[in-house]
Amino acid sequence: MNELKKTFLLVTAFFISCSVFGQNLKKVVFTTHWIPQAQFAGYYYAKEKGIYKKYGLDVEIKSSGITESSQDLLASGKTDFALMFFSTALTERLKNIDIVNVAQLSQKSALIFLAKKSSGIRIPEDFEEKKVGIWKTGFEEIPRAFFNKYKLNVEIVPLSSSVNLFVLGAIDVMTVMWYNEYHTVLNSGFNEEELIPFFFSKHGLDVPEDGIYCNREFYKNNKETTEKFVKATLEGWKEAFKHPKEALDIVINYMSKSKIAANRAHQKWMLDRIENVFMPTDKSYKLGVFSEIDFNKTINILSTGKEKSKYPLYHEFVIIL
Amino acid sequence: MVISVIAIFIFAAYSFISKEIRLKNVQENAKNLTYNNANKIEKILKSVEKITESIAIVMEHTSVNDSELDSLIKAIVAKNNEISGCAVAFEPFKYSLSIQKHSPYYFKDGKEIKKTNLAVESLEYFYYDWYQIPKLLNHSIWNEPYFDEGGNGKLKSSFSVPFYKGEHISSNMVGIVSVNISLDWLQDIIGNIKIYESGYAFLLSNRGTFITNPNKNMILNESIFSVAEEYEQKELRTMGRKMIKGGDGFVFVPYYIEKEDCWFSYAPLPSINWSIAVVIPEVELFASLSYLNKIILLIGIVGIIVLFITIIVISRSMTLPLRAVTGIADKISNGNISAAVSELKKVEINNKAIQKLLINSNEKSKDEISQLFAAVGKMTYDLNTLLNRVVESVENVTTLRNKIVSSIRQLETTVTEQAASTNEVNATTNQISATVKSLANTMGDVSIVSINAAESTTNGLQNVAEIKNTMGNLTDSVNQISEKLKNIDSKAGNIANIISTITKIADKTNLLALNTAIESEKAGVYGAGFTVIAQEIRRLADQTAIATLDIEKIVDEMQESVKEGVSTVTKHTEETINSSDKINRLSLSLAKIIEQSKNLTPQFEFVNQGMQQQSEGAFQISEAMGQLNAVAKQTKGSLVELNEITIDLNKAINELQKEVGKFTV
Repeated sequence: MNELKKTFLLVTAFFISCSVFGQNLKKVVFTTHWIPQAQFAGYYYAKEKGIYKKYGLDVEIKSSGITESSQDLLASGKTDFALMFFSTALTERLKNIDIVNVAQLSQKSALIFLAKKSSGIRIPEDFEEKKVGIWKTGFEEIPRAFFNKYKLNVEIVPLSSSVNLFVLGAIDVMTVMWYNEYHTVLNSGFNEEELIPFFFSKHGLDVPEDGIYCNREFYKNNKETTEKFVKATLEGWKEAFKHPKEALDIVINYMSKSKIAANRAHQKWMLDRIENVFMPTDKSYKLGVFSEIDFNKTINILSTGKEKSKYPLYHEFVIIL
Repeated sequence: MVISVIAIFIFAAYSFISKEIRLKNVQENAKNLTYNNANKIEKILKSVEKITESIAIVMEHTSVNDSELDSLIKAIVAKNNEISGCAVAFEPFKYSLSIQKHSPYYFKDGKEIKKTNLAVESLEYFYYDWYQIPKLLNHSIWNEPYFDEGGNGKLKSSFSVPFYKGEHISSNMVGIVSVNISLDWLQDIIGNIKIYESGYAFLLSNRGTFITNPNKNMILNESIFSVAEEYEQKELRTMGRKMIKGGDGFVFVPYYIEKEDCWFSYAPLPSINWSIAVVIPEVELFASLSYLNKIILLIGIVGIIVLFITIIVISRSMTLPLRAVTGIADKISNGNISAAVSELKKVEINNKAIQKLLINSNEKSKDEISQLFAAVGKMTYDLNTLLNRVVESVENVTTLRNKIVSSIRQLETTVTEQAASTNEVNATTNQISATVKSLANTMGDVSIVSINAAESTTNGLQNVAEIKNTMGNLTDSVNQISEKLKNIDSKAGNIANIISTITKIADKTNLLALNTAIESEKAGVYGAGFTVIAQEIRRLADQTAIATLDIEKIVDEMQESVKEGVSTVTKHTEETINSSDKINRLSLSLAKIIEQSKNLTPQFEFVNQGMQQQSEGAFQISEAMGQLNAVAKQTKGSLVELNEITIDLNKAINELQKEVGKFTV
């Protein structure tokens, strides 16, 4: 009886292992829109914890942002999936690049105009004729919408990635991400009471950010793979939020592999804020699903009357899996 | 105890003061260390600044062509060991109206010097900090250090100087000269700073980022603020803010990086806006001190232990007999004297010194406890003896009390008897008084009759029959008087008897009172009340005796008067009888009779006077009797008091017996 059981178990184990190893994992390339950091914890977590594998995928995660952008890599077909801000994706669409949104992770804008109180800024109107730093890499639409809204005439300073200009006083205001540069500024010796943040989400410019995009063509040919990739990714995020310590370890490991200056305090802050943005408590949402209302609001923010027709329609642009 | 407290206090004070002194020395040393090294670093950096500024001056004041610029930059890189590269970057179209980007860059690659043009690559140098910040700030600046990916990941920093055409304003800026240097030497200098066992130094950028740190992973990855956040150290954040603002100081940070308490000494590098800090673990700071302290502490502890042992030994030798004494005292307080005595004997056997002391009370001991013990022992024995005596005394007092009670009872009976006798005397006296009164009346009648008779006799012989009759009446009356007088006499005799009884009683009372006085004297304090009462009784007895004597005298006088009266009356009766018999015969001698009758009247008055005297005597007796009665009443009152006192005495005896009964003798 025991022998029989053993034999049966061994045979079963053999078949299972055969099915795993013998399985042809589908190779997929995914590119984040910036260098490794906790903003991408869920993808790294899904890869390192074998969630992608579980869905039959062999995902290669690439970084971009310094020399090339994720949208460029997607346009050139160097990646299957790319992470992009919604605003960036719309810009791409306006360039007639036929990309589709397969998952919308960010439900809320994390963008902030950060000002120093010492510059005498208290309200948006105080930005007038001040030096305002804006990231130069294809991310100007929303800050410009902010200037339009408050009819501001400012001296725009294009920025790369550092906060040094702001910290050293070369500029008065700069765009920062709540989950990233805001904290960097805090850990450059500024106290919160010395700063004044203008959350875009509180100024009628709540444009969702991180979303996963692919070319329509790719999607048409790889519907099953896309579905698996999105499902696995969402699972990765849920698990990462559930196990922040492990997720942070993985992120920091990725960072050191890429020789990126990292500190745990900063990455922890980032993971916490990303959770606030992906799973907001003050908003109804479904993780990874783009709400049609948010979509249309963003179109209204970014388009000016005439151009509106150029923008894509929700059902045409967003793939609901 | 006090000594040890003082010792601890002194030690703490010493320790505190020596720590303070030590801390001041360390602060001074650390300050010197940080400033010396800051100066060393600044010197090197200043030389780099000078070179860079010189290039900028050349760029501003001469119009160099391509090859001249190239050779200048190349020579600068080649001739200066500390410089690892130099770039001259131009604003768009400022190098040439036809060229947007131009930036020749020479750098060391091993021993070779290589050239590249930053503009050729996809790099947009306009947006790099080293270009953008000095441009916007309009002044030269040391840039945030970075790891050079092309140069084996070496830590580098650069100094950027803007150069202008004309006035130094943004719009006139032509380009930036930037010289980069490897910071290996900096890490060497900082790395070589050693203080105490593991004390070290680190360098912070103007953003608080670690430029050097023994933990390589922290360099450029962590800032003092991120460390403060991760380990929740507010002190560290506060210090960091002071450091990046160019301050200096000496700060205590507890439990730094979850390891140990540390002291930080920091000083600025003003030209570069960096800051240097020296970290000293507190343990090491006070290591030599703590060695000295340990020795002192050890000596102190050993001293205190010795002191304690001595105290314990002494106090044990003290408390042992004390405990025995306490035990004995406990037993005494419980009333178990015999147990106390037996325990005392036990201790006595075990302790020769105490034995000696107990045997010879003159023996002097230096040991106070032994003395105390001996005193308690003696006291116990004395108490035992005393209690035995008290028990005996109680028994004596009880017997005495019984005697007093019986005496009182006897006295009571006697007084009652006395009262009864007194009442009898009273009644008799009253009878006498009444008899005397009626006698007086009769005497009055007799007087009148005699006067009448005299008158009648004088009036005529015809009234002889009447006289005869009257004489007969007179005889009867005289007989009656005689009888009554006899009666008085016998009553007076009775009084004499009673008085002698009273005298006897008084004597007896006196004797009893005397006895009582003696006994109560024996009873001591308890008998004090008695003594007073006994004296009172004796006084009363004396008064009784005196009163009795008075009465006796009066009665005697009265008896005499009566006897006299009786004899007179008897005489007159005889004479009257004779007269009556002789009336017939002696009618002739009527005149004589009349004469005699006339003589009779004053005699009757005399009798009457005697009678009145008798009456007065009876009254006096009555008064004396009243006094006697009052005395008897007083005696009775005294007896009630006496009784009450006896009850009190009884109570006292009972209580005494109860108290004494508590002691097991």
